[in-house]
Amino acid sequence: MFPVSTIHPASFLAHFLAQRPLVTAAGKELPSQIPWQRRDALKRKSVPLPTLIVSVDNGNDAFKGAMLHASQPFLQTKRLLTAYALSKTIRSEEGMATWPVNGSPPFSIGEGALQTAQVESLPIGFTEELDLKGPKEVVRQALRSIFNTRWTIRRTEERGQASSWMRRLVEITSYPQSFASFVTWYYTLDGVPIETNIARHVTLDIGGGQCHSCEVDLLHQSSGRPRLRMSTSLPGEGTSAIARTVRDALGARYPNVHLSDVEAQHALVSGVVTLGGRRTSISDLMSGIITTRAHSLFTSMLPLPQEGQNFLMFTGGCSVLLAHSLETFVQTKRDPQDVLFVPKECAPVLNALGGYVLMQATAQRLLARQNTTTQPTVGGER
Amino acid sequence: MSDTVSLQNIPADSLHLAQTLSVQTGISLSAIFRLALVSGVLVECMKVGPDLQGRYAGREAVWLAKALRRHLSSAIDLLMEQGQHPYQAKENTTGVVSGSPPIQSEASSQQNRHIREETGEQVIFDRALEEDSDLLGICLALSELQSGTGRGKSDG
Repeated sequence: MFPVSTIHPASFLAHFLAQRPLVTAAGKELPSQIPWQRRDALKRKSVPLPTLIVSVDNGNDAFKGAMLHASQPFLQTKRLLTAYALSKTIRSEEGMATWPVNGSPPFSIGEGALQTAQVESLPIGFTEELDLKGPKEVVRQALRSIFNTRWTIRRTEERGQASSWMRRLVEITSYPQSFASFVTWYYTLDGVPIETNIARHVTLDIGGGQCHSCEVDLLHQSSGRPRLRMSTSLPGEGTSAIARTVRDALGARYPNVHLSDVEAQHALVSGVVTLGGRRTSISDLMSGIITTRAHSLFTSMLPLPQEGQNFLMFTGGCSVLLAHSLETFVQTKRDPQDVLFVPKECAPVLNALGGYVLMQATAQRLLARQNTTTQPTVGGER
Repeated sequence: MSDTVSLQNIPADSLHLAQTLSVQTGISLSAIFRLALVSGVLVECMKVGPDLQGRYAGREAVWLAKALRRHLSSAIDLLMEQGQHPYQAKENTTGVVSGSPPIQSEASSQQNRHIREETGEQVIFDRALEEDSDLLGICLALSELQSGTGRGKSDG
């Protein structure tokens, strides 16, 4: 078993794992809202618009989100399976929340949708949307369609009680998802880097759709903090290939059972599937498949553990699923102090947690810019 | 000769308002409707929202914003005077003004405290993470990409 002593106690990651309050060394809590300004040309001044900071990691197998608790200095996370079912197949009185958006037909998402007969997957496909100039043009177009647009969301809860929200995304910032995981390991709550002699850090993020790697060189200097150099790659598929194999094996054993991608992924994670109306364990069927397919998955990432000059950090929801095989595989190639398996409490949502840290810093920069832009006008009013 | 347009589906209240305005201003009823159409179409563009290219009825958002400004300035003044502007509702912890998103009363005092802290000169984060992100060329906001402003080098 590998220890987790490779996590610095002052890092965000240590705080997340220990569920410590997110309070800086100066005793300040991270803000859950920021005083965004919208320019009112008529009044010739900026109008305050309290704005929530939220981070989102939209994965092929699940949506992961993070935001601060409304009144406590703790990050809250949410992981939702990418399962979707229209209201024609569900009824709220059966105990499922529905979510119409902007007058759309009501739908159910996540595990609630998985309980219906007509569940659909919501995969986002191949993800390589960022380069050094920011999001690619096709991504920018998609983001523009949701940017600064009002969304009316109505949620009908299990007992039929309805709530409505109007939300507007007043700013959208894209971030490299596996770099976000590195951020939680490398920065303290004050936003300064931890003291470390590690010079090459590689995050291996094993997700449902893909396996991402993010290599960060920490270029230590004679004075000042290290300069960072980052590169990312996709060394292989995630566990969706294993899920598809499980689906095919189930189909062969039970010809009348046809699982969707999201159902297969869920079966892979939970080890259970509904057969003949009963929740049935398929662990016997899965164990052989996981062993075989995991080996194939690990082969694609083999150069990274074999290279002896980097520090490896394994994360992602599916690193938990493959934990046993993964540790066995890595133990043969690495000393314990050269590797970190992010504990299962954080691994599935670490990208979203890191995204939140990045968004705090980004919000601070945008606020500074906003104040610089608006101050002359504000100073000149009335 | 322009085609006639039926008024039968216009709410009675709106017709009454138009007739009253006509009497008050001495402008014909048809002229009142022409003016209402011009400003109303702009408002409808905004209400329908942008298409996938981010355009409102085929026009850039900045064009619509400028066009709306001419028509809505006095309307926004009235909203502000009467305390009906949604932003005022956000600041009002009672959150009772219609049309405003619900405000979580449990959290509002805590959040306001955060906001007050943040509006000061003090910052929560050290600049290291911000500068590292800058160096790596990541985390550019969509507004920065659209406006082409990018990041100014911080002097902090």
